[in-house]
Amino acid sequence: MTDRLGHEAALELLAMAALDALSPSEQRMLDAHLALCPDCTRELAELRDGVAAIGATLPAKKLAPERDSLMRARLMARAVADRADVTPIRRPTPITTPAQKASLARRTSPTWMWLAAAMFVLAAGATAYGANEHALRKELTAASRSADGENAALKKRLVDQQSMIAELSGPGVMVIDANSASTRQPYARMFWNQPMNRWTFVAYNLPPMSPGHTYQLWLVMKDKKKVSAGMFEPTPTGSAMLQATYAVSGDSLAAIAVTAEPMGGSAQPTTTPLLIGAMKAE
Amino acid sequence: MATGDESALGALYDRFATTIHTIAFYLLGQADEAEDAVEETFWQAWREASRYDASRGAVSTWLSTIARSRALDRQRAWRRRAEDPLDTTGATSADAIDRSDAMAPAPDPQRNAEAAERARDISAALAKLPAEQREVIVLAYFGGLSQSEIASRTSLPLGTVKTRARLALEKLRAPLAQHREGVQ
Repeated sequence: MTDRLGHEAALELLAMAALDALSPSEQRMLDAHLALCPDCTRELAELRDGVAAIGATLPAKKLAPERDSLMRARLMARAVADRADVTPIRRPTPITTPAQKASLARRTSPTWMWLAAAMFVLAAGATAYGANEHALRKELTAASRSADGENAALKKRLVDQQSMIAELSGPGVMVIDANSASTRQPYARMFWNQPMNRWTFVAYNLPPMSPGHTYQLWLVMKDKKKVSAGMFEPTPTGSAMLQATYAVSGDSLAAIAVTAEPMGGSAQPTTTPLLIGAMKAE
Repeated sequence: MATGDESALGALYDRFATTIHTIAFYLLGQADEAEDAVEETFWQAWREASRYDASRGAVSTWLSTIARSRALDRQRAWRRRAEDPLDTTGATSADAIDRSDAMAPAPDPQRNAEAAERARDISAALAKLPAEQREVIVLAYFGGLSQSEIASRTSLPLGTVKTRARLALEKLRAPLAQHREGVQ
């Protein structure tokens, strides 16, 4: 790497480099100098401290607790999968006829192929009919942005699902069933990923909650202490899902329970549990 | 973390998530975008942990640099769209800050109020800097502008822009060192 910049010129660029405000060509020239100049490398690190100071002096903006624990769990799940170098499960390739293959290819074409096809068709249309180029480009820009948004949403959903799969299928996951004797037979199941301290609770056939009330999930410890694991509202069909992060040692949990509580939740259960699930003895 | 210990990632997240979210939020001004930038930051830190060199800076500085880069990538993508003559919908947080500074009307009153609040927070955080240095830092740090773009926007010679940036960073550096010692 040749240093075409020189020390004095490099010094002048360091502050803007710390702020990531150099053009790509300026950055390349500076990088070439930095590779040979420990003084400038040290000076740049110090100036980056100044840049970091800006973030440290801004009023703190905390993530919402639910979003925070979900993001943490997702990152941990991704890290576990990354460390384990997990290969995604592949579906067996079905035997297909050429016609079926063509049909399958059409159905499974990635977004960019559809975009490319759309661009080709639109471009051909423009040539043939002399369509307004401005309107055409606008349409393409909108289509591209829509595809970007769809792609981002799908990626986020995929990561969420991978995270949940990791939480539900880890080696230390315990399952606690919770039943009821009422006529409508509410039913719930709790997946406890002990190594990740993640709780995934799913429930079905829950009766609708009366106004001003909410369901609250409890972890009942062997010493009779009851810890709130969160509140939830069932869907109109009576199902619900709740995820939480809470560390509990393996032998201290006795049961889970669901009660109806005033809106906002209670510090301790105030009604008879609708659902109770005891830990199964190992 | 460089050895693949995911609990180290958890510890890093617990310690710095709020700092990283703060940076992303002030750069992007949108909760969803800021959250995505936070996740990208910690994921990049996990994947590139072996490249971290403690002798070249604190972990907080390393993470802050990654966070700002990820947020600026998003911000610059918005700006590219905004600069597209066919696109009149894009806007950057820097534009929002400019709008609030200039007291110009914005299309969405709530977003305008939020941008104005962010601008006030930023001004307060940089209050120790003279106005001319603050302007350069706001345009570079929060606006993601290059030094040439800043010179063009402020009608200042490029050399003046560089000098003001350096003086500002030198002023900001000293309290950070104290802050970091306090945290560590």
